[in-house]
Amino acid sequence: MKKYILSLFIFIMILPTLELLTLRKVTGIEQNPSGQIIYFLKDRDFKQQFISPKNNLYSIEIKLKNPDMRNRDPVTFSLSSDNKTLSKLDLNGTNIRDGDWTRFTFEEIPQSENQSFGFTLASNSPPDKAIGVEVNGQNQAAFITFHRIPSRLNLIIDTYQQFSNKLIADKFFLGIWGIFLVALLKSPVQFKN
Amino acid sequence: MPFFFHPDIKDINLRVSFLSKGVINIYDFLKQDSVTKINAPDFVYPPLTYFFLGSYQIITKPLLGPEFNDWLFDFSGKSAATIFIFRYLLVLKVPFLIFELLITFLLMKVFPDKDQQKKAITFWLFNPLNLYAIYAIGQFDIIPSFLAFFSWYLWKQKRFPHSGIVLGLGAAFKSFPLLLLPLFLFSKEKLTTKIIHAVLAVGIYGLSILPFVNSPAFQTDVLFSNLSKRIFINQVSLGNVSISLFLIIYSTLLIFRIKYQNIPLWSYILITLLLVFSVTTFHPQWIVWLTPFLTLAFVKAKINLGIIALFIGSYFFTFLLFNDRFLTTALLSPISTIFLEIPSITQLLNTDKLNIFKQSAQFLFALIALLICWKVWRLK
Repeated sequence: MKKYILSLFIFIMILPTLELLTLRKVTGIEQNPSGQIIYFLKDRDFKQQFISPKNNLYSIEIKLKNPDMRNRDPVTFSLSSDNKTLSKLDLNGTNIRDGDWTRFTFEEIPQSENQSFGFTLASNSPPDKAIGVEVNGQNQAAFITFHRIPSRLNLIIDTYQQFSNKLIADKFFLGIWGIFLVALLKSPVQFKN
Repeated sequence: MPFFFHPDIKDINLRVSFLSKGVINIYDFLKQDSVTKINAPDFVYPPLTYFFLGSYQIITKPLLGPEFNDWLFDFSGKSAATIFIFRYLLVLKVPFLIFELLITFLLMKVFPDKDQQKKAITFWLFNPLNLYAIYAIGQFDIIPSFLAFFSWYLWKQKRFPHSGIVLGLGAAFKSFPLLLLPLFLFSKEKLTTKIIHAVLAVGIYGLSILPFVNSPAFQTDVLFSNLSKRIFINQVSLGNVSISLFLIIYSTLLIFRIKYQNIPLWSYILITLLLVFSVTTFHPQWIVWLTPFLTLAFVKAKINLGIIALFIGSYFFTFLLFNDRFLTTALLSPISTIFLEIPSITQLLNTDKLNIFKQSAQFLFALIALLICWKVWRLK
């Protein structure tokens, strides 16, 4: 009985590592929409500023609207910092699903933490075919920034560090969990005829 | 136990927390309260669940601490980030361990032989189905599961009225034990015995819901909810009439129950529950309804470890493809919120492939469930 309990415990301790090995990226900013939309069209670009919370920025997802998939025109996404264009991506309206997150991936920016960036969405579409950006109550775009993990080993170590800090933070839990484990290992279940 | 978090345990505890604030009719209350109307629109379980879990929460309030109520009302999606999450999960899941140990005790009574006892208890306590459904997801299905199993055990001990009372209590937590009532009724016991058993079972259940029966909210959320009708949704057309597939198969099983009395009651219970899972899109925690009886089948050598492994594998394959990260990757979010960022398989596969995999998984699970039914049925 004890060997099963110990095996289970070891498996639970290793499981986080196994899961973390599958992680390729982490999110930075996560801004959600609140139902409003701002359309960008000819002579009216959409601009958004943000400060990257982490290094290794390489991708941004933006929640876009393309009602009835009617827009099939070129759309340009540009990423800039300090008035310098870092990346420019062209895509077609047919690649933009209505109400879905559209990902824009560019060359990784290693030292992006606490740097100020801006992205612009531009199109020559007329108003009746314009693509919209879903925004929150402050007219800020619903978008998510993605950052590559520089070192998976460091991530695993940091996660276990966070875990142990969290365990120690609630000493009351630590006490009852300790008593619980000892009681479990003493195995009250005895097989008898 | 305290390291796995599924939001259901928080959602249920949010609803039962209103007992400590004096709310008796939770069904009507949730429709009226302005905060919960948006974030906790209904309570879909019978009243005894509310009173039992609510009372437990009141008793354990000193252990849960003063921040517990604020945690219940945290709808940010990152509620696992709190430093008290391990404490909450441990305290809230302890009752499930108690009921699991009660079934362990019953299994020791069922199997007096030491080797069989060891086999039964090892399988019961350490099978992945129980570990996942009871301690990872943290739903309370182990309570009605224990009561259904205890009812069968009392019937086996010829304590028929007690068996009826316990079955009724089980139904007062979740209604699935009522599905098993006809299996008791169509046994070879004396008619008066069976009638008393049925009256007690239905009576206890009826008494538990009587104060709420006239509440429209209770009727829509519990009695006639989509959840309670789910097993009858898949239908077969016979001319102009559509009949529930489950009802057709179950009726056939009841005929066999009358004809083949030498097949033990527990076999019929296991077959009934396996049929439920074969014809329904079921919730993962429901698997606990049948695991005590699956243990009996395993120990009595009706099914071997290979078939059990296939069953478990197909069960997990089904849920890997559910669009709920908290059934898989996000379960570890109490350890770190980084686990909320790991995409589930559904997010990695495109929609067309996903649908094919989902249907295949459900088909495979149903096939293996039917294989177990056949194995259990065959050895009279």
